[in-house]
Amino acid sequence: MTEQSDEGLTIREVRLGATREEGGTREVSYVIGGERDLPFSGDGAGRPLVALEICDDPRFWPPVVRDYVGDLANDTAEWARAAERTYGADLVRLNFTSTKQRGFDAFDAIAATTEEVLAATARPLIVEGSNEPELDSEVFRRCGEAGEGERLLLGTAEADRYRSVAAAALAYGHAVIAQSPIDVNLAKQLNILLRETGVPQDRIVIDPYAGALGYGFEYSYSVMERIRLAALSGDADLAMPMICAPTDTLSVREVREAAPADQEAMAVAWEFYTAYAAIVAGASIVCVRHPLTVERLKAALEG
Amino acid sequence: MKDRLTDSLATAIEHGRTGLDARMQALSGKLAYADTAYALPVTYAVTGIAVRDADGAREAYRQSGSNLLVACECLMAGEGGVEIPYTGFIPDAVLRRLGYTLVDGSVTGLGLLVGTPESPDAAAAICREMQEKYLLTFLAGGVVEALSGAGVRLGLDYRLVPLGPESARGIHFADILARVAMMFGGVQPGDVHSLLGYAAERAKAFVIAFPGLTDEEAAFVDALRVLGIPILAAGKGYEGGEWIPVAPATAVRTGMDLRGIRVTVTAIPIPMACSPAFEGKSIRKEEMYVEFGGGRTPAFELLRMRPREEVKDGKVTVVGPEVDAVPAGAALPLAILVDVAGARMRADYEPVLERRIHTFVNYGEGSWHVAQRDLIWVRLSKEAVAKGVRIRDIGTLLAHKLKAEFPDHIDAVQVTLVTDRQKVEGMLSEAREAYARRDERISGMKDEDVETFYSCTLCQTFAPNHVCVITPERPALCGAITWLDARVAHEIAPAGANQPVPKGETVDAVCGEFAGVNRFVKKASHGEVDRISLYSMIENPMTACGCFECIAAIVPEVNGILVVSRDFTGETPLGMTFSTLAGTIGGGAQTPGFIGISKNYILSDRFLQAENGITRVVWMPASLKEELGDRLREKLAALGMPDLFAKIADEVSAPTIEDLVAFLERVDHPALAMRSLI
Repeated sequence: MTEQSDEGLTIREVRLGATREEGGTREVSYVIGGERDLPFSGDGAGRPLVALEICDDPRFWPPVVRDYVGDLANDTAEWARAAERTYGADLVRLNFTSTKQRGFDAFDAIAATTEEVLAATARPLIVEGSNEPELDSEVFRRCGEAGEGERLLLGTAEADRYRSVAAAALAYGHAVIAQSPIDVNLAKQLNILLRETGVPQDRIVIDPYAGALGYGFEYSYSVMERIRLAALSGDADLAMPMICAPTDTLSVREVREAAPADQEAMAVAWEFYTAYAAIVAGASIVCVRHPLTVERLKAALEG
Repeated sequence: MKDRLTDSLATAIEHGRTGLDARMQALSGKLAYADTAYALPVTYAVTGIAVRDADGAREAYRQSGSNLLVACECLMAGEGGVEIPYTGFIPDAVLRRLGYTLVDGSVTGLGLLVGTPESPDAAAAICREMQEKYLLTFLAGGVVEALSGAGVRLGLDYRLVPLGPESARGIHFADILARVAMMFGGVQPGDVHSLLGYAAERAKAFVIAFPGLTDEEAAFVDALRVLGIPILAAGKGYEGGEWIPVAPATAVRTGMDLRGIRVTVTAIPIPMACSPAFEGKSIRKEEMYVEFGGGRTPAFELLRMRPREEVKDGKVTVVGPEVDAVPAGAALPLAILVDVAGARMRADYEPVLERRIHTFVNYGEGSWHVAQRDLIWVRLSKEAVAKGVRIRDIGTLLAHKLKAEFPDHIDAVQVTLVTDRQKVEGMLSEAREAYARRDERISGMKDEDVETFYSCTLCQTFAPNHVCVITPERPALCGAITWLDARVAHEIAPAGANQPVPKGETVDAVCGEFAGVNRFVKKASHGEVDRISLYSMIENPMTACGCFECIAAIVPEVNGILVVSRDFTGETPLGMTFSTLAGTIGGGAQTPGFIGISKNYILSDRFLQAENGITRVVWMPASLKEELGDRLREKLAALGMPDLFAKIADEVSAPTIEDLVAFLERVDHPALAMRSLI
């Protein structure tokens, strides 16, 4: 066990994105973390951030989102621009779903897309790299390199595949999403592994892994609570801000099988309540896929 | 003769130092490398000074305590560049990629080759081996031309980087290490201490020196040793110093061993898929092509630690008929002999690693394994044999998986598979002796012999505040992890679920309460539990997750303890089944009077010693009594109570509490006369 102080801790602050003064090209950068209390009970932290997820290959994306965004889905950069300017997302999360194809080897496109999306957006960027462990090394190097100086939030490190993400974070100055399967001890273990690789603690964001509301989200909620309680009672290896991306939300039966006229409302409602619950459990960033959910979350958080 | 040789390398280095010193004093002009934010990187890392000109260089050299790496770097920065195909100084942007592969693990270590090899072919073989082992190799000096002449392709893509035509260009190897330490290791310029630490622990590098270095070059190469880099002398002329003489053929292995560089290969060259996904799949009789053991034939498995020179890594030998020599449905005898060697291997680990044979054989899509030691039962499916799977492939699978999963402990594995009946039977006695020795080793270990216990928090997934404390005499309550297993698990995964628990001061020797254990449990249970007793079920008993093999419970009516195992589905005399009891004690709670335990703990000297241990046990299911059988009889005999075995009731002799009272009175069980439990 690592040493724990008797005093309560503050959640570490993690800086995302870099403005021109900070060596990047973003118009704003964000600082997440800094909480000293449980969610909604103190005065420490700012408003949680809402990220809209987009992808570079819409074949691997929920139909309900494809229907809503239409042609935008075929132009990753425009989709990213719309995410910020039209849909009002605090930041974009770019998923390289193209790596799901068999025999993927378009590594140059990874770098090019990262650059295009950076050019089309003005806020910090989350990049979700490869879907295949064999591609990790090349994919993370390319997107890490393309985003050098921009302090991306790179995902996703897991206990048995964290080296490439960590290497990209170290080489090109990015932050890392550390995901563990709904388990407080594994979350801690991964943070220790990342630290041993050399990733500074203030560049780690915990992803406790989240299911959809009604489909196991309660486990994630409970683990998030426990991670935060452990951190506030002095466990430095868990004192990182959390990100929550309940990616299965749009494929639950209630959304898939809703009457065509209700499907969009159902999708947005399901995402909204799942994401809001994650915020209540302590998430600093929630990631959603339906553009209308962004607006609704922001209204609820600001209202 | 010897004296002269003893002097030679040392003398050369001294000459070299004098020469470099003199050139430093004569150095003039501007000094810079292109495309770097680290000025002259070695000098910057060592002194914190960003050198721009000769005067700055001299000042840095003075501050570094006349470090020769600093001198060589400053001198090199004053010289011109090099022609293609040589790279010369490597710009930051390229280096970032190289460093990335090092952190990422796609490169396992770094090598520098200097001098001019006597045999270009031997040098080419060294390079091939370095490529095969995923090492990134830098070349400086005559070796570059020799390799080109031998037809070796050079360049970054081939992981063979020609720095320059003179061995002195090898200084770029040092500036690469310095920059990697600053870029990736968070080493601050001027912090020599952390630079050395990074070079020693993270940047695993070694140098192979071929003959023909000038005195100055020898002095430079020797100076690399301060970074923890061993210098291997592959050729004559470097005797009498700290360089390690090697034959070219063993140079790479020696370097890798010295730096602890290991290669893990993930693809296993056998004609069947191999993954945990197949672990639960059994091979039924109709699907089976051939089987081994399981009562039909003699079969056993044995993993032995051997000296490194007796293990030829990756070698698989089959002695006796292969599976295609027998008809479908046949049974063959089998001995699986796994020999492992490793600098950090210990005989204690043998049983833990041997246990993995079971897991790994089951990873095979068409192979199946149950039980252990001389009770094993192995099958290969018809489908697999039709695809070309042979018993030899099981050997290949084991050799690969063991090395891949235990890279820090196993450097070499060889597997021998024996299917010849006479030979298998002949070897059985050796195997049985080995099993007995191991049992003795753990059974001989006492809690008072060790200062450290181990924790297990694997089950916090579902019992968030439960902490198992594992001691030599008290295995984990699930029965799956002994103290030795936990120690090995901790060595293999230091940040994992098994952590060392310092015993600390003894609070209560009888109850088994230790101050260090209490401190640990308080933290690991997130403040929920602040005291536990390891040998008592009444005073602060250990919590339970839900995985316990058995439950021990107090029976107040008879002043005794009953033990019920998971496989017993009937009611205990307490009027509750195992599962009802389990529901009341699991989940990480302390429940005085009830405790989750492993079967082997029942036989331990420390078994609930605060409550008089085994002599207090009044009831067990017949199946558990039978399973403990002779071992329990021996134990009771050793306590001088050989008749106690028969006095422990079971579900036949005492199905209800009334029957139990009557039975115990009839046999005059000692528990009736003991001090009251409550």
